[in-house]
Amino acid sequence: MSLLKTVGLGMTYSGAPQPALTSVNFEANEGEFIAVVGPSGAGKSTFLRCLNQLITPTEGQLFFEGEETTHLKGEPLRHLRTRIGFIFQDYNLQGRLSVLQNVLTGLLGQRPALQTTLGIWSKKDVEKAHWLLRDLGLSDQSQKRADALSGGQQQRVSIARALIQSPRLILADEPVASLDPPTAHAVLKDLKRVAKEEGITVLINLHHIDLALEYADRILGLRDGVKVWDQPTSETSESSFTEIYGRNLKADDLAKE
Amino acid sequence: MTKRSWWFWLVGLGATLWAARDMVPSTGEKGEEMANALFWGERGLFRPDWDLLSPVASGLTESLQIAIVGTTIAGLFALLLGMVAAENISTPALSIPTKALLSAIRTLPELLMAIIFIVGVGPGPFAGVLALGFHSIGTLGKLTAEILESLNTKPMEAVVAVGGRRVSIFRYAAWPQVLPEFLSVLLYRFEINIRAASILGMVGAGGIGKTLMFAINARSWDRVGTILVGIVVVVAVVDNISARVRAKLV
Ligand SMILES: Nc1ncnc2c1ncn2[C@@H]1O[C@H](COP(=O)(O)OP(=O)(O)O)[C@@H](O)[C@H]1O
Ligand SMILES: [Mg+2]
Repeated sequence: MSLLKTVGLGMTYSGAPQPALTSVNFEANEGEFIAVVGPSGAGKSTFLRCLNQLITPTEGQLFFEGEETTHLKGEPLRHLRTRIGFIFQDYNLQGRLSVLQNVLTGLLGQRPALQTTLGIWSKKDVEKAHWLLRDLGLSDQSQKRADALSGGQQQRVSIARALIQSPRLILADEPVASLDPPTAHAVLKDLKRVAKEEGITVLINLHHIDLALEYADRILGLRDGVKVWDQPTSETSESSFTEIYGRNLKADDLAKE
Repeated sequence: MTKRSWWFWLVGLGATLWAARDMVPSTGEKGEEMANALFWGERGLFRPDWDLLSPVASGLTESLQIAIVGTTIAGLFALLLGMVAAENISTPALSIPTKALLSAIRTLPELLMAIIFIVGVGPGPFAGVLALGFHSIGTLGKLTAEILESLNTKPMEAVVAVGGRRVSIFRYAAWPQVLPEFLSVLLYRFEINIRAASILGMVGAGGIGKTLMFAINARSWDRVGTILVGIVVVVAVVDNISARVRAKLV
């Protein structure tokens, strides 16, 4: 079933001479793990940020769970965001708060503001946070300051923060770009495992084609803000990638690691 | 050396000599006698009068209290004005005049403010508190605005992305960064204010300065010596504790 749909989605940043994203028609089904690939500046981040409206698209329409969400503002937009997890390249944790507090942050859109502002969380929520941390191998870290953790651990905390939302969709913008290759693989494996267990749809921007090939069910190729192709991973070929990168970047890409 | 650095040294030396010309100590027998009495005499600076310890202690305590209350009041106002002055939180229409106001406040020295408040509210520690509080708002407000302007927006973006309200963004993303940095500048200001609070009394604004002024006027250098030792000890202890706490905060 279709979870997310974009129709003619476009984005031109104010003052920019040309659009960062042009007429993207895209559909994601429940439980799919989809990679978005393309060279730097292709519009991958712009695409993802339009989907939960961290930036407001200037063209086209957005649909989530069959309902149009294009022009949502205020409370309805906050409500939409509670159902979509977002994972950032730099984790975006509050380093001075504990790991546990950072995970609970994921619930801020869904719990009464007065209580959360006073730092009051239900036993159930705290238990769920602990359970998620344990599931991601971080049970000993919950009381540590978030900035005391390694990069891979911090990204797992941000995954837990997304999962505690009980989201239908997770958007991940280059989640492993700041990690060394073994850690990157470990984090992606974890993300894919929990997404499959919970039936969560994942849209993930990946700079490295080999990571996309290894983990994604489907790959969306972007170039200069335009969707070039959208194929099941098994159907992609060397030439698919040459098409979006303009040269055979696969070898280059590996060398960069 | 380049031609330019020659000029630099020459002008610097000339200015210093010109300034020092009018600063010669009183000479002759009288000058020597006075200097002797000041330092080594029976009632000289280096012969502290330990009987004075209890009035000195209570004067120092009052200075400490003036510094604590003055810094706290300044901190509260600085937090509010800092938010209004911060370009990323406020609007230019408010931010620019507030910044101008804060720098105007910074230019007025504590002692001048103390004299004004003494005339306004009468002599005593309350005038001292107002003087220190008012003066400190200038620097603390500016530093608070700078802290807010350099906020890391990444955690804030994360709270927006989970559907958090403004209050949650503030509480869970901004405040944990702002609080320790704010406390750190507040403590640093407190270190400065404890020094200021020890001379405020010389113009009548409470604290040890009053005792100091009496002792100086009576040329009781032994008592002055005791008071100076007391000030040094208190300032050193405050500096030390404050520096340790600040190191922990950041
Ligand atoms: N905030 C912004 N303001 C103006 N232009 C931007 C902004 N963010 C991105 N762009 C431009 O939009 C294009 C797409 O950027 P981005 O979505 O970040 O690509 P990617 O994530 O694939 O590297 C680039 O040309 C970039 O320079
Ligand atoms: Mg990007």
